[in-house]
Amino acid sequence: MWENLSNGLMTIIEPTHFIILMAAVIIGFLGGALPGLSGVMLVVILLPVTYGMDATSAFMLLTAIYGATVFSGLITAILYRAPGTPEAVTTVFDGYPMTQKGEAGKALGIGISSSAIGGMIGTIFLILLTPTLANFALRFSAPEYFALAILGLTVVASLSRGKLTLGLIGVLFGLFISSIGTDPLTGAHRFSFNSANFSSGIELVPVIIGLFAISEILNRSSKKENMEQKVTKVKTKIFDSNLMKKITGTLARSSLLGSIIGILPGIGASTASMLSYSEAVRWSKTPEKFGTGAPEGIAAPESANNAAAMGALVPLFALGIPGSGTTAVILGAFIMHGLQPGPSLMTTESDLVYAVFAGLLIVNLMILIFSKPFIFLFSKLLNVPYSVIGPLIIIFCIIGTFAIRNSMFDVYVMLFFGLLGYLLEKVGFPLVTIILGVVLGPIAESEFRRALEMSNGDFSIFYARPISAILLTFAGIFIIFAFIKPIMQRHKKRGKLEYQEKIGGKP
Amino acid sequence: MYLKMPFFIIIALTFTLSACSGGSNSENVDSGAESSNGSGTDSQATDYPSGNINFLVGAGPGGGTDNFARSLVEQFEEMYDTNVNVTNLEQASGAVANERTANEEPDGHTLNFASSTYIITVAAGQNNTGLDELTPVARMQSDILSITVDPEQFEDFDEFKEFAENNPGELTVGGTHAASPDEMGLLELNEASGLDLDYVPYDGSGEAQADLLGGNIDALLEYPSAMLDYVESGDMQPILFLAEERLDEFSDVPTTTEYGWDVTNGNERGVLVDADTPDEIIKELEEALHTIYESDEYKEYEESNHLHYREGWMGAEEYRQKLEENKEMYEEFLNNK
Amino acid sequence: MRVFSVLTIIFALFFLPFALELESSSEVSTIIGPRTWPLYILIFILVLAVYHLIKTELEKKRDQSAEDSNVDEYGESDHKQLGEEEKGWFENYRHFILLATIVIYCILINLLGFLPATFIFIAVCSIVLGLKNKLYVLITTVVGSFMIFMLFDYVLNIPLP
Repeated sequence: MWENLSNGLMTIIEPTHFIILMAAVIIGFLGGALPGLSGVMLVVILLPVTYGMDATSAFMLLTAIYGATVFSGLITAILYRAPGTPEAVTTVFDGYPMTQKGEAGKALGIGISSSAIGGMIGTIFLILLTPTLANFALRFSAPEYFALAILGLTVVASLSRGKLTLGLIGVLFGLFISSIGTDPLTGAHRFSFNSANFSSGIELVPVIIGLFAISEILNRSSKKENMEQKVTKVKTKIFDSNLMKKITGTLARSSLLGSIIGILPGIGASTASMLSYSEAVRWSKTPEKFGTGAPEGIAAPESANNAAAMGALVPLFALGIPGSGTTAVILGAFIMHGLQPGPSLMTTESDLVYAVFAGLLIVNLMILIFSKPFIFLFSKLLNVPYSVIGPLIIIFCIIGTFAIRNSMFDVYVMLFFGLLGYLLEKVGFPLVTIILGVVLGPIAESEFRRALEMSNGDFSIFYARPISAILLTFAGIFIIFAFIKPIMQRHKKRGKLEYQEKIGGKP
Repeated sequence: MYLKMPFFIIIALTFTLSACSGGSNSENVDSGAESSNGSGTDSQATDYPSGNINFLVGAGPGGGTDNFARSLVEQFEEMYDTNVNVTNLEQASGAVANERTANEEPDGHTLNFASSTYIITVAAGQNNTGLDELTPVARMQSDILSITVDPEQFEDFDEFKEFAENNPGELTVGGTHAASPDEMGLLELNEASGLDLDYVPYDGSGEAQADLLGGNIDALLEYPSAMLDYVESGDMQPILFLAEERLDEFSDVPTTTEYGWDVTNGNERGVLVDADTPDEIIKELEEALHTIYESDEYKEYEESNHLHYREGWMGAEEYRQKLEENKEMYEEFLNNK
Repeated sequence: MRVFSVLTIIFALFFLPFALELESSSEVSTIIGPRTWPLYILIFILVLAVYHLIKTELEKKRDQSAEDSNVDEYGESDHKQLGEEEKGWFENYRHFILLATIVIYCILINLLGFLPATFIFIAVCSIVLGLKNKLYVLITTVVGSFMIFMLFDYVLNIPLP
């Protein structure tokens, strides 16, 4: 293997390959940084360009672009609350509040370093363990996916910041939105009002861009003082040793979690970042700080989505099974290039595979090196008056939303959610919970039903399989805990108040 | 800041690169406009095409139907000296692509690339764009379905059949999507053979394959191109083809016809246009597609995608008949489901 | 807060009949039908919204001064601001004007084509957002439209609306 890898590295050092990698990183940066232009789209656009290349260059280009887009989605997520790629949506939750506090540079720094670390760990997983991990991933089927989704959903208690009823309504609303459209198991149309638009369902991206980006533009435009932007100096410090110490645990956990979730064929990087954010909140000693600009809140999703992006390549290379939307397109490219994706690819095309692996290692390094000047450029945009940049953000949101499915309907959906998000924020509604529901809803429902199809209606499939049983037990514990916790806290608070009254201090 | 300089050079380089590719595109646009007076090879009779041609694909990027459409782009552009845009409209199992094709100008500049899913959704009443609004131009592919299993679990179809007969409703067979060619294939098979196989729909064929490899389902409805490599590695084995004749590469695998079951529908991919399109343009397109179908490039693509086992070509008339027959049959199935 | 609960209840009640129309589990071949999941979700939303309405009403009665406590805690300064200074109607409703502008823009794209509509939109939108200098408006409009058009149509070849 080491021999293969060093061969791979030699391949990369060839000038043409190196230039391709650099170009790929930059194209990926640009694409990822523009809201709505996702990795899938970029890969589809560049697919015809790769036909003229040899297979090694082609797949280096495609995988490098894929890696770079997942990374650069964080930039606009942090600066403008408009996630550049769906994978970066969770980064908004804590990244944007930090920008509002004037700590944009710090937020970007955490994001970049976490991304690169996550990507590195993901790639190392990919190189060392591809065959082993692929077999592990095969043990995950419908019941396990369902259990994973439920486990993710239980975090709603911590995400709703003390307003559990509202949080629950939010999650259920999200779940409901995701049930609109064609039922994946029977093909029946739900809430379609006899229109092809509704029967195609509500996409995740319009909801995200609407709820966060558009609602923020509306919010800003309603406040006079925010229109004249304060000139802020954004200093990006990529490695801050104090901060790094603080987030090391989160980073390690999230990268690992991201890699593993990325490998599972049924779940993509967006879900991975959502789940790892949930877990970061759950493991944190100060969960109430999440959503207000906690460094861990950026580190967790960013390390996880990059790790997951690399992880998604594991089943692709080892089994010929795509682990996400983008890898599905790359799979198509394999066939177009006359390669037969499947279990034998690792042995028959080992030169190609290891060149791509080595390329990814270099790409993650390049991300670290290039990101600083790139972000410097982007942060300059913060000094441009909002009245100039605002219309452009809106247009990017519209084009991006439109381009996903070439659908104007999606744009109106986005605007609807923009207004909804604006109004809900006014009443202090925890918007995050809606996203939680929309992301995990389809997995929870269809995997639950698919599992029952597989077992012919026997519910024991959920607890007779070890992985699903363990995950569901945890979920159960968390649910019970969520109900006990407020009661315990009330007791604590009361005790505290009484104590303070006694000593005459202010609460 | 020392990094700034090379960075800008790279940016400039990227833009030159992309400008190059953009440039060639715009040239195509220009020449496309010029060719409006009929400079295309086959288009002396009509003034077709008078601009860019749009391929609307009713499926997501990377899938069989998408590959099919994209494999034609180059030859189409050459033949008509114009620019072809491929747009994926996978919403509602392609119904949006059908609807849009029917709503565009009926001038043959918008081609809808559809799979059997189209006629199934129409039969299921989930697609409002029926054969009165769209008209078939040609069928070009007829992909063959198989029942594929883990060879360690079942050795051949007789063993599979015996188990299914003794345990009705026990065996689970995975496939892609609900109300899809896969599901219809299994329903047809159940009907003809009297077996009771349970269909489990997946969102993509990759997930279904993973579940077969992991032993979570008993069998898979799969097309040859998607399983070949697994067959070579010994992880999967087709045990029955829904076809008339045995396939050259799988001469030891029986077909449904041998068992006396008339179940041979797989996934058929073809081209549809607006029903109001003038006959001569449909004729023109049909000829163009036939030229491509006979070309070496297309044959090469067919072979590398393992679509060559069964004759794919059907002209406009024949294809319409087939679609209408299938619609009736599927309607019956879906009502009795 | 009351408005929120009532709207949520209306939302759930609106979709409930549509959910009931869907095929139940016994009508389809799958073990759990397409109706079950959305139906339960809507019922839960309904129950929670009613519970929330009652809870906030009770809290309001119990403690008059605690009015809008839920809002003040997190929604923070919004309420104070509204009363604080006299804003012109334009500033007060700017966000709605902005939203209307965007909707009109989307319609214009279909009527005029992407480029002219974008041109108009950037000009109007930057004025709505408070750009006063006319020269700047012009520069933003021209440069912005050109940039977007070049990037998406020429370089990336993405189909524009």
